Amino acid sequence: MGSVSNEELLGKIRGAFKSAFDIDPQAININTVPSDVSSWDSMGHVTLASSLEQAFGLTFDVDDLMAMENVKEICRIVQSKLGQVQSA
Amino acid sequence: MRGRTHMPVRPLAEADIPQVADLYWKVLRERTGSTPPSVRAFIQELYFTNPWMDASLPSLVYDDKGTVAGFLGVVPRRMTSQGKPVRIAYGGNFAVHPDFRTTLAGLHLLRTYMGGGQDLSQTDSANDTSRALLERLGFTTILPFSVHWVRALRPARALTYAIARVAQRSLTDSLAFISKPFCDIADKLAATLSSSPFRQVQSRLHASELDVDTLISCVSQFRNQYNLFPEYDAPSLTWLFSFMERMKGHGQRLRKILLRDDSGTVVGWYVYYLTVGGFADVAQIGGSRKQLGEILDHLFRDAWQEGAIALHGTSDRRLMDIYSDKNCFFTCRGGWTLAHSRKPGFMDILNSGDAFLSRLDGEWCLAFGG
Repeated sequence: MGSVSNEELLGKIRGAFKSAFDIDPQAININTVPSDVSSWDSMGHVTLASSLEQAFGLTFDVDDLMAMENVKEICRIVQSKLGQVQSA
Repeated sequence: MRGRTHMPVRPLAEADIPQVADLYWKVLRERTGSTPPSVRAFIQELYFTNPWMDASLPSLVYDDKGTVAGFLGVVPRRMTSQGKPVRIAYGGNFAVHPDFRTTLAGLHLLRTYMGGGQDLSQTDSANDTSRALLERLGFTTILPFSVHWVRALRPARALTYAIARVAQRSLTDSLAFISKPFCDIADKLAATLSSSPFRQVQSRLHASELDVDTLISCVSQFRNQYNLFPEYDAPSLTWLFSFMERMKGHGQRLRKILLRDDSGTVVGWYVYYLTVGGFADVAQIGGSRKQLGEILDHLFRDAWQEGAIALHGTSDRRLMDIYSDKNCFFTCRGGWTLAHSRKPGFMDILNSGDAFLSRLDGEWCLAFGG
């Protein structure tokens, strides 16, 4: 997968949030944290991770899952994973 | 969400009991009103006086500025594999307060539990939601221990009971009232007609109350055909049976039966929770493969005489043909067994069904029925 711009990245992450939580994707921004999304609980987090995996064609391990504490961290982890894929 | 510098998961302390009891009662059991004192006593006894307590494998709480926002009960159990002791940490009661769910407390509790010093992390009664969460965190569903058998004893009433569980209350009451005379006749015929698959047969085996020392001796004789099995001792089994009898987690009464043949030789045993007019839950059946058919016949008759309408238990993959021949049917409904280990050998043993594991050996038997 090629590199993605920050806008493109956030757009895809918003899509994953919509798919996981059925919410308005525009409600998601870089500062969004779980307490901003009522259904972002442990089970929702797992669903979100699956949606992100699907959206980006990536696989997250348990450490990734635990580190995705907010949208900023999700962006960082996805960028890092995409970088790994690109350099492989 | 909290920063990573502060880890809000810590071991359960006795001072947490009132808050944990409230979580258990209101979140797990979905009850309203004040938490009964018996729930606090249950939490205290289960997590602070169980005979397998190990300070290095504690139950966990998610502490949000002094509020217990989540709880994961852990009970260690001792087992043996290939002559070596195995430390198993059973994860059981698991609840997060609805107001704190977006802290992802559940994930943090499970992750901390999985990172403990045990050889195996295991649960034997996960529901579909827990299963999905645990699998995502690296647990594996152990299919050989997730298949359950059911045997109708009063088939007409068992069918009515099954329909009632999915129907509306008003319909259930009417159905039970209208069908009772028919059910009584049909069940009488089912138990006595020689052509009936539900016929109750008179066993030639002799039953007596199963005591703890005899069970230890029986298990040590029969378990050696397996690569992983529980280590029983008199104090822990005495505590366990007393706990099960008092907590009535899965029935009204615990039946513990030892079976001997005409020569007085022990051929098998069974332990089950009796529910008169309901499904009785089997905790453990033991004995040789050769005599399992007779042991099952005895169990079926005992539960039928005591008033149960059906029996339910977990299958042993090696013995499924015998259960099948005794007109049991199989289902995955009854709780999933999942396990996680950093040592792959244990997962291979479990996945191949090469373990003598019953519902006496996990957290199923540690339920509260109040």
